[in-house]
Amino acid sequence: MTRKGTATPSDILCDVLGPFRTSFYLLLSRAFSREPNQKMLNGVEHVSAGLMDAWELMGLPSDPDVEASKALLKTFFSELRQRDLDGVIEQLARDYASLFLGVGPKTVSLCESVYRSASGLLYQSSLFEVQQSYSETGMTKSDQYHEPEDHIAVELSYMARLCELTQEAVKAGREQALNYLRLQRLFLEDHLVRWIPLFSQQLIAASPPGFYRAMAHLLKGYIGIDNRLVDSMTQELNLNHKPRTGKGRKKVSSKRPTTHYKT
Amino acid sequence: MPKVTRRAFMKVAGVGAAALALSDRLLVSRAGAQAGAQDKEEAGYTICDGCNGVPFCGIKFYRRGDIVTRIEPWPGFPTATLCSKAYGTLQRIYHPQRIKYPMKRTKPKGSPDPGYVRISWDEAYDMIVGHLMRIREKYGPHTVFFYVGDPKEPRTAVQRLAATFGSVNYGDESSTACRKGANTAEVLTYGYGTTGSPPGKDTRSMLIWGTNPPYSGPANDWQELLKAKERGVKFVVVDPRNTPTATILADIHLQPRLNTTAALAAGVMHVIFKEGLYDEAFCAKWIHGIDELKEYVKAFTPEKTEEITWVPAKKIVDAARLYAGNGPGGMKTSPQGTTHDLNAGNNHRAILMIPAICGYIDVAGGVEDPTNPLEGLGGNWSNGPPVFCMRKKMNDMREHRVDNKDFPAFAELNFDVQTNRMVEYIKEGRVKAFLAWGLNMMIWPQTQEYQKAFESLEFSMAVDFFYRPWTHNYVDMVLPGAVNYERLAPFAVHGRKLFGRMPVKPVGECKEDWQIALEIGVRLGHPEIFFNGNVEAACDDILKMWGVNYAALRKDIEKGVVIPPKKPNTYRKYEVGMMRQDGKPGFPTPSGKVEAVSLILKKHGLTALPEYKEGLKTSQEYPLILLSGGRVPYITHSKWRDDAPWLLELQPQPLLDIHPDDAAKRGIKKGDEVVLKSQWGEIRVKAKPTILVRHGIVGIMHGWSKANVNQLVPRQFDPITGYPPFKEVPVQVIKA
Repeated sequence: MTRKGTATPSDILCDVLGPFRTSFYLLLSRAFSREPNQKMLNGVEHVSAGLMDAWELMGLPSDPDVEASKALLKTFFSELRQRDLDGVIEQLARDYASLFLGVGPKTVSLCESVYRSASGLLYQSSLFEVQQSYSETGMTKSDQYHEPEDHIAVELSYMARLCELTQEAVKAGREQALNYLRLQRLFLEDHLVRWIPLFSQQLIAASPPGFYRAMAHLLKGYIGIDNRLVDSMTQELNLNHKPRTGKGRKKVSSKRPTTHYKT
Repeated sequence: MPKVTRRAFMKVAGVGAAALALSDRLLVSRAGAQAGAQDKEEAGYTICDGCNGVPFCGIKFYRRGDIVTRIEPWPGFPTATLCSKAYGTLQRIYHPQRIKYPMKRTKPKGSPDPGYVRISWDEAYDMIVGHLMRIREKYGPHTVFFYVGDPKEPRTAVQRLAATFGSVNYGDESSTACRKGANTAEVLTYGYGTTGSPPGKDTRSMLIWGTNPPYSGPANDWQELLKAKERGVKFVVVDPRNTPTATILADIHLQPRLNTTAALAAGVMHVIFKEGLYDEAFCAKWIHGIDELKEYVKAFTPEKTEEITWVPAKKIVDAARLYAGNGPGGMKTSPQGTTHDLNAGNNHRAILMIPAICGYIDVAGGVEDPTNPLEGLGGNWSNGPPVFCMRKKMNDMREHRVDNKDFPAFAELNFDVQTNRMVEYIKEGRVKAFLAWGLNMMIWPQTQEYQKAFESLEFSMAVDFFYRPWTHNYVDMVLPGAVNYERLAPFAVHGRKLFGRMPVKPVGECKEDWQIALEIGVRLGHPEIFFNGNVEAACDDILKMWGVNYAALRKDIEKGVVIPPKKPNTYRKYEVGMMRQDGKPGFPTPSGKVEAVSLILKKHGLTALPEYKEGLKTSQEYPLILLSGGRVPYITHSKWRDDAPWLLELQPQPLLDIHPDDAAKRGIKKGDEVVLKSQWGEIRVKAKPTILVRHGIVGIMHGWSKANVNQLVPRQFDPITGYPPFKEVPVQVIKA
């Protein structure tokens, strides 16, 4: 029996998965939040390589999208070293504008509303829903960022923040940690898994082999598995913190069947 | 269950800090954020810019925070019958392809891909101002051309910018292909611009020429015409097409061959003079050149007119009798449709002479001229108040207009410059930079020549809602414009009623047109003239003429603010000195009369009588005549294609209207792909056999980027208006 709300030695799974997932979300959020710069490229190279290694070390199932991303990133970064960095950054800015900012032959929207609304427009009900989710955890979109709340970078940023909050809660209070995991699962099921596969597919089709196609594959592969990681963490916390009596705590479960769960 | 190993732990721990450094901190603590601001629905107000006409229709919308959720007609606004175009604006504001940031090209002009990248507003303004200062210093201020396309809303602010910068060369879509051609003809003839007036209670007949209000005007206009029909008003409708206006209103529908307007008008006047149906006293006292006109139309017997125009002689006689025999008669002309040919100016002048010889000008129920136009506007609101626009300063610089030699009458009568010879102006180095709000290069005939010319400009920029390759591939910078729901300026003017707007914050980093113009002005070193970039302060500077301000408009947002009229409504104002600025009786023309013979045209060596001139001739090779620019309802000009998919559903692709007999002769069936070609170019479109066009004429909308009909139109221009022959090009249609 452990003291309620404290970590056990086996919470070590959370100690690994927590930062693993936070890093993944931060990486993916930045990939789409704005155009790359040198600092971002350095970070992406380092973080993506580390996370993909960790993926293998943890024995996570091999994923064709993650593999495709790995190959594309390897090529991208090895070519980068042979080219003028400013030139590459400028080309990436062109790619970003062409793919996402409305000046290319086919714009791939970065916002959930476009994929989830019957009208296919920005600023639809998804936006109000995610705004509500942010609000419930005391967050709001920064005024400095001029994209809607349901922009992919904001949604992924929210997941990153929930991952961080979970980590903090694991140490401080198990109930709260489980609650944050429940929120993540809901956000995944209500939002990310409902539009990211379609978005990624469109981005893969629209982008030439290179940085953005790699990030699209990585996003697709990661969102496909993250539900499982949330489950693993939830199970771990539940196993290690069995209630003392029947009146104990609420059972943590998803409200919806996990039809979007990647197998 | 993932395996936890020390190596995995170390790997993850090793990237944590680097991942954290990637964070853009897009979410912040909610403390201080407005709690629940978006839960509550509030009303906002704006105007629809879906048509090209001003004033527009009023939209009341509902917002959650800064997000527009639904719209409805604005109760209290004079025109607010919202049609699908207004609903289409909802698709435009939240269209995923909207440009939301300033964009700069990174590849040289002429590259297939301009390589646009996002820049900050500061960088954009620095670049604009840097180029403007340099070009002014090196080549002089008049080499910078300022242009406003569609919407017309920024005209006021952009004219002020041009004048302050010191360039007289400001133009707009009206001075390129739209209103200013007909307006020039009207000013030459009557001394003021008018497209007629709605039928009043005294009106007994109406002449509607070349316009189809239910497709191209506010719904209220059409309702007024329907009511007149119910009252028993007689209608003569002139249109080569079978339009709803013709089929619903016309007692007599005349379907002339294109570019025979002046001949048909001469034929009608021939009958009116011959049968003594004209107003002899008015003609004698108030028409300059009446004898020359009478003499000229003598040759246009009904039979001769039929030969030229294809309109049966009997119909010409009947139309003349119906209109001249049922006075007073009103008139409704197209703002531009009758001026799209090589005799544009005089064709339109010929129409205007019909109500004039009948004595219908400014009589109750005739072609009425408002007694109490809002003081200080000097014409249509869309052009902007002359004082705010610094028209006097522009006038003082008019010797530097680039169009002076090409189109002298046009240049004398308009503050805005005719742009159709822009290719030459750029080639000759007379225009070095082009600043545009709402530019669409498809407006010009032989569009590709303008695109090419733009590549040699030293700087060009365009403000727009969307990236449009046929225009923006040829400029240096595209700036993101705010749409109607996001604009405070301009406020709306309906007669003597003023309405404010209550907009939402623009999406992304979009800015309203006025704001962009004002901020450029501020950065050029004129913060006071441009109100430190404050749009409301700029509006207040105009509103003070009428003793109100924007706050007052907001206070009475729904019902508007009325500026009381100063004089009782009167007619025949030319008799009592109420038409001329000098207060003398007469019309505001050089002769003081309606000018059948125009003194201004004479002075410039142009044809002074509204004579008929044969234009481009059909041949065996090109036996059909092209009527471009006809519309389906709810698509206006080049607007509303991919911007609003709901509207595009009404006609998803370019269709060629062709009479079933003309189609059959060519083995063409509905939906067949056809080649439409002229001596100057060709496009591929689908055929739509229809009796809506008459034999010998084919019709198509303009503004389709993949089938730009203006590629078929030559760069030849009417010497009075400078307009190209959009509606008289000989063409052939072949099954593809």
